[in-house]
Amino acid sequence: MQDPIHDLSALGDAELIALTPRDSRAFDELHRRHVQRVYHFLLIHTPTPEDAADLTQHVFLRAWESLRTYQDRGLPFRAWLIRVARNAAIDMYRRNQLLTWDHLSEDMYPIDIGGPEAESVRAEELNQLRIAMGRLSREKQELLALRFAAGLKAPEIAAIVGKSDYAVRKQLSRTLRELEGLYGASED
Amino acid sequence: MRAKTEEAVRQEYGDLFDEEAGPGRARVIRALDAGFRATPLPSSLNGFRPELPGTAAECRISLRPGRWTMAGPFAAVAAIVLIVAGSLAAGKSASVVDLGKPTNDVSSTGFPSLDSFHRIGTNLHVGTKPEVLFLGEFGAVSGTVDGERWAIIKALQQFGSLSRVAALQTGCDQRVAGYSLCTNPTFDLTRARYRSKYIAFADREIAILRTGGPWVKYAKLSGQAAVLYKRYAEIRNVPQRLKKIMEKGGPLAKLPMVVIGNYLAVQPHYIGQSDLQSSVPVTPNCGGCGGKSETVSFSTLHDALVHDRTIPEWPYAVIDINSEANVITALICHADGKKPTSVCTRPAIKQLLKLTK
Repeated sequence: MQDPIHDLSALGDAELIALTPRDSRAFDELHRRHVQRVYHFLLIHTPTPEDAADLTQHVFLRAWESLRTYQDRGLPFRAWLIRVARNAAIDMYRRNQLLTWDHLSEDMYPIDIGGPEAESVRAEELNQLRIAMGRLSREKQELLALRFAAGLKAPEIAAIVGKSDYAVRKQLSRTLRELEGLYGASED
Repeated sequence: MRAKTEEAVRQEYGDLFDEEAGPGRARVIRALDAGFRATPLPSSLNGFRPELPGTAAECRISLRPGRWTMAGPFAAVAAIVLIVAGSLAAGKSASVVDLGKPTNDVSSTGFPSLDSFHRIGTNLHVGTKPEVLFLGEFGAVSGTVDGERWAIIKALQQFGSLSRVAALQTGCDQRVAGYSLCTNPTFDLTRARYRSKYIAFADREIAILRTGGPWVKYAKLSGQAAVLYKRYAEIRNVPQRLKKIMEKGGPLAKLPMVVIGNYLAVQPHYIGQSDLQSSVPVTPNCGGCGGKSETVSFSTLHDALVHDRTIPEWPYAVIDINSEANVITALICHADGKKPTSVCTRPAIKQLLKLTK
């Protein structure tokens, strides 16, 4: 019997995927690495953080069950995982028609009103951005979530949304430009 | 999570600083980065040990908090037990929100009106469904905010079903979202789910006054809700700079704010502080010598509504909640095209619908 590998954190995603059928700790390590990104991505698709956590568990369960079908054809594991999450979220859209920015982050909205002035100003600024984002189309909102919450780069996003790398870059840039305008306008 | 420095942002998001980038790009990216990634991971997501195959594991994910380590033949049995327990819990929630049959009360004064609700330019909806939005707060021991939740629930139950609603008893040891607070008898809707063919519902509790602590901001508003809130509602202890921005939209008003389609109210139509609280003389029959304030208990009010009974010490509580529920019901009927007919053709609703514009 082969000795178990002790330091799984030193392995790449592909090695961990190959190891998963023999060592359950391997998927645990994959989960540890990517759970936060998946959760943050799903936060905008669910009405409460608890629902996002439930859906995240569902995504990892689905990923675990489908892992043998995963092949790295230019789409890294983390992007594949986000695609699974996006599909799960789309299923949820169909059922509930949800898209929320309420959980964009605790920091995006004031936490403690009685806090120091600096904190209030920052919270106020973040709230303005939040309002500005609420004015963007659903497609643009999701693009931002894929880039900032899921941490994907343009080529990975392109593979998920079925557009060219160039088109995604262009749309991301235009969305940020639009946000700069809205953000500024909401300050006036 | 603290926002990154501009240098760190440029390093991580270098691809986003292209020729179209304006002067505010770094600031926007930094805020987006901080905003999207700041929410801490819940403890239920610490670790993944899928030892259950197939269906039982699927069942598990519908229950919270997640437990990831049930194995062997006990798993299926455990899953069934958990499902039954879940159903019972759901049943318990349903009874809390059962506030009796709708009545035909339209006013304790005998003059029905919709004067507290104003038509607004915004028409709230989710998909094709009109939306009912409730903005409230906890811990102010406000008879108006706490009382309005009773009416909202009674109205909503006629168009669908609410679940995951908890009762809050009178007292200073109640808990909402992990905070201890003082309250009148009311409901915690912060985790509520609402299913309806006709309308959508959103509950946003703007702030919580903790027992022995300062206000904390709880709800995070977005989109139209945020705009309407800024324009019509007020918030406590707002720093001056933020207040100035909020005041730009118009005069400050009060919570609860209720929006039903394109109608908005910033105070209940019928429900007042005295509905749930009354001044009880310390010495009986002492006339105007003052007394202490007493609050109706949750079970007393709940029972009275279920059986449509007047509570002697709080004589307006039931009629005002029922009247308020009818106002809300009528405005929902107005928003959703008068569906379902069984609800929207009740005499009280028809009477109120005539007052809509």
